Amino acid sequence: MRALFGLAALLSLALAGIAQQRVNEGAALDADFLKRVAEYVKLRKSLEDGLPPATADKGKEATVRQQDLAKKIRTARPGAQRGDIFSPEIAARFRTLIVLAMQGGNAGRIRQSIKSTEPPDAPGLLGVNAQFPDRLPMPSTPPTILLNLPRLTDDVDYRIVGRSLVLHDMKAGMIIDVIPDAVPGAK
Amino acid sequence: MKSLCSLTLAAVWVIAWPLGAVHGQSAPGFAFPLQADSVRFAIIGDSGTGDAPQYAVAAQMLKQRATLPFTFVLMMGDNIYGGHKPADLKKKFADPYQQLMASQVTFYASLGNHDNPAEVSYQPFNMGGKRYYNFRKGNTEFFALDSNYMDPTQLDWLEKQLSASTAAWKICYYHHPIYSDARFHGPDPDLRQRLEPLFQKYGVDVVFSGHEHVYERIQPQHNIYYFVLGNSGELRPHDLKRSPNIVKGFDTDQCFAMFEIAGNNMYFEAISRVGEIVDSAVLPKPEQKK
Repeated sequence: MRALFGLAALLSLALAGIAQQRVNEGAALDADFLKRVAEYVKLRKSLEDGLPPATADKGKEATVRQQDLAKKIRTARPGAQRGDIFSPEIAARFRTLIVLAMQGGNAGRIRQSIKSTEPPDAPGLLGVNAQFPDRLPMPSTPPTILLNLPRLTDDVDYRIVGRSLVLHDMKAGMIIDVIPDAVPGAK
Repeated sequence: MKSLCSLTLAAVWVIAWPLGAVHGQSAPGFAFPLQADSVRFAIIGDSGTGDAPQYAVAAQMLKQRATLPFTFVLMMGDNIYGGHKPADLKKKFADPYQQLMASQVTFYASLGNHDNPAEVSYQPFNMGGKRYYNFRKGNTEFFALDSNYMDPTQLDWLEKQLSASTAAWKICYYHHPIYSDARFHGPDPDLRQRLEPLFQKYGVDVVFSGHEHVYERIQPQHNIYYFVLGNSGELRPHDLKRSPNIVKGFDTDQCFAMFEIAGNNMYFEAISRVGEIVDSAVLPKPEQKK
């Protein structure tokens, strides 16, 4: 009997160790992701220096400024491609976080939320460095998903387009990176 | 939809007509009190088409200022549809509301799903470069939210601002409705899951939203008044379902609404593009349950 208890204790310790290792790995991936985003924001901020302030001319030129900024960013990162920020490991981590957010009763609520916000049906949109066309509605992201993802600042946000998760720059109105099939399909 | 209509209705009447019907006049005895220290404002939603109906609603707003000289306008989002070049901003906002702005009426916008986030820097929208912000007028505090992106940072901000507010009336407005009986989109239940507990905890009295291209006054939910007004430019005719959750619905023409908050009562009229009054009432400040 004593041997059995000892075995159970060892097993319990091993499982706790594995869980802790997963937490540590997840935290490391989140930190890596936020570091990559910070590098992007640093680049964008350096490119904003030459542009007029957003509120110049009563803001009438705000969207013109947005397009000018997007052009400068495209020039500064011409080879940008899918996976630069969402590396395969980070993308896998995000898919897991979204699955966790959509467990149980959350799934139906989140799907209805996505549906009610009029998601654009335009898969051709999702090129890295591309801008969201003005003619299409801006997709939103259910708050419960946002609660489960690493918190972003500096006018960079997450958007759900179809089943993809898009990393989006609000200031430049452009797509920074994409995870395809990030949102699990309906069963 | 749960309906907890435990409001104090003493000395207050509410008139509700069948869905879509237009009687063209206010409820019997209705009149704005035009109290000296009252808060007077209008609301519009989904306005920015640049088409003739938007201009007609704007002209009607100007005309109705003779009845209630409102001093500011809340915008429920979709302020600018389609292109966002300077010519678009002129055609879809500056031109239709030119005379209102010349009369010192100010606009306070929130963002819809058709808006470009760069609109936060468009000075006539008075957003101060922010996606969400608050301001106070008299005994009322207004909280403009960005329902396109209700991230934890915004939720934290909202909780902090609501908890610190000393205003008698607290009004939140944003684009996507958390209650609606329109067919096209329907309500956003995940947004409701996150916002409604804050509204209840901190005593929000009134919530305005747009997105659905109709007018709806919802039965009070947890002692909070909900209005949907997303037909000040766009219109989705006959989109409302018949529902016991709707006190009053209107889906056959464009409209706007104007409000006066005087002491513990909120007076309002919803008015169509051609000047017909489609809803009106005096609503008492809800008794909040802590």
